[in-house]
Amino acid sequence: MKHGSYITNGKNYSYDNYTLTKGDKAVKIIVSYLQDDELLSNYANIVSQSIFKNKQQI
Amino acid sequence: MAILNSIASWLMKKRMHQIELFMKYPHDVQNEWLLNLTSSAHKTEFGKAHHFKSITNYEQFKQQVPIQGYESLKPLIERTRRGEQNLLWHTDIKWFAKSSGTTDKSKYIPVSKEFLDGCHYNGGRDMITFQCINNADTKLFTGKNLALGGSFKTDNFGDHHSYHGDVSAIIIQNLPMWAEYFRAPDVNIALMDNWEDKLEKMALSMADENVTSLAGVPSWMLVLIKRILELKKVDDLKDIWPNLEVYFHGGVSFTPYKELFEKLFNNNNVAYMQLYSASEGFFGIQDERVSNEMLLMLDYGIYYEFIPVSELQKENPKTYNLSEVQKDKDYAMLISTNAGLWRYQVGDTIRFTNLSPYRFIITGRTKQHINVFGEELMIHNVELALKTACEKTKAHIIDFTVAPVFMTDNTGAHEWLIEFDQEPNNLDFFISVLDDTLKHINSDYEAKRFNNYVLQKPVINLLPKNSFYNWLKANNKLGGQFKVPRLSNDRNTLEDVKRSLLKHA
Repeated sequence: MKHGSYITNGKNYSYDNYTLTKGDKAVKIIVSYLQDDELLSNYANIVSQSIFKNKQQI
Repeated sequence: MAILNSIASWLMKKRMHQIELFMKYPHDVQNEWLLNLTSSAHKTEFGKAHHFKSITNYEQFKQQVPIQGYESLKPLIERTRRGEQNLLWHTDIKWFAKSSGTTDKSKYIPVSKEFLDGCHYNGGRDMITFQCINNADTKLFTGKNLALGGSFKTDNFGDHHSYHGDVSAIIIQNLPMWAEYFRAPDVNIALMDNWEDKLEKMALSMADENVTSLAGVPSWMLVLIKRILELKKVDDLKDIWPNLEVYFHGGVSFTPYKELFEKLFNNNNVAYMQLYSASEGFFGIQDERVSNEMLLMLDYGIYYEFIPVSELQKENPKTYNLSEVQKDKDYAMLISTNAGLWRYQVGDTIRFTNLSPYRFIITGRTKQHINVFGEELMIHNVELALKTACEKTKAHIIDFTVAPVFMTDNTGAHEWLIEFDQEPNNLDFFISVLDDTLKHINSDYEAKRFNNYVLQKPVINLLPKNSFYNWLKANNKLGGQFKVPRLSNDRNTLEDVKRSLLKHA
């Protein structure tokens, strides 16, 4: 997981990047959300937890 | 006070021209210091033994002087403590900075007058210079600098007296008058031996002062500020110190503490300035607000050399001077100082982020990493992973320690003891983020974690409040420069903290 932040159009965003690999195949998942927005950050956390729990299936 | 502030700020800014000089001609300044140091000490016992008189360049210096550790210098240091002089440095040495011994037993680092003036006081002055440069409207000198410090003790060897203590205490005891005027608390409180009484007295005496800057180790500053807020029955530090404008911090990485301090300072525009100051010397200052990098200070009477981390385990590691280092590589630092340390390994690892001027970040301690399973886990990996996990789960950390745990013959894990100021809102998620971030930033860790073959998921133990404080207290390690060893290759610290928990249960 790579967690970070960036600014676009004067607004602060956070991102969580995931790279899931199997053999020579890779899937990249980028979850990006408005910083300080409780609701969006909670949604992002739900997505992140789901990725952690279902890595094998994905 | 306003006139005094203007004069003092102007004087501080004048120093900037000298700093610009070493930024522009770093190698010339360093070469000059090498020759200055060796010629000053050529009549000392160490200087004669290593033919300092014949040294004219770096190549000769590294051929004639082997790399030193504390153990190799210890016989000469101990003789100096007992009153013999002219052994490592040519002027009299009576003061010894007792190193906190995060990873080893205590060390006694010699402190000469040249070292105090040229290194530590210059460092203290330059951190203020940078604050004045970065904040044109500074009101720093309208109030006091609250500095956390340790204490010192007298050693009696027959007729000879020498002194040892925290380097901060030696600095406070010997401060020039102009600096003493701006410092607080009163020297009688600042140098008290009993840390708990000292914190209480500091809190009481500082709560009504006009404090414009803070200096000290984050973990202890946090305890002090919380006590002051408690005493004054307010939540916002601005109600107590409205003119506070900068916090000078060092000693441990600020990363795990930043969020806690931001909460305490409540967006009051308090600036943070990182310092790299240790018993062995004052090495770096964060000269720019926009980044966490520090400027390597080249005119403090220290000659720097560097060992690539990959060479550390070798019997004869390659060493480089400043002109030979590369960007983005981890180096252990060797220093030769105007207090008689020669090619001495400091124990920290740094990485240059810029070569003109020389700016760097601290990446860890040569002895504070975990590499039991080949995972090469460095302290900066751990701190970044913790920061991410805390951000994602709204947690705040007080302190932590990590050690290996062996599960079967072939596999193991890292066991973490973490004390939170605010616990994660979801511990499973915290562990997943921590683990996954470590995998992302450290490929060795990722490889060892693959399918749990070598390393299993981290084992996290949450500690009750004050656990680390109680452990430090039980080990007589309360004080500004004592730190919890955060990464260990053995379980000694971790087991000791656990035992201390049982005593306080």
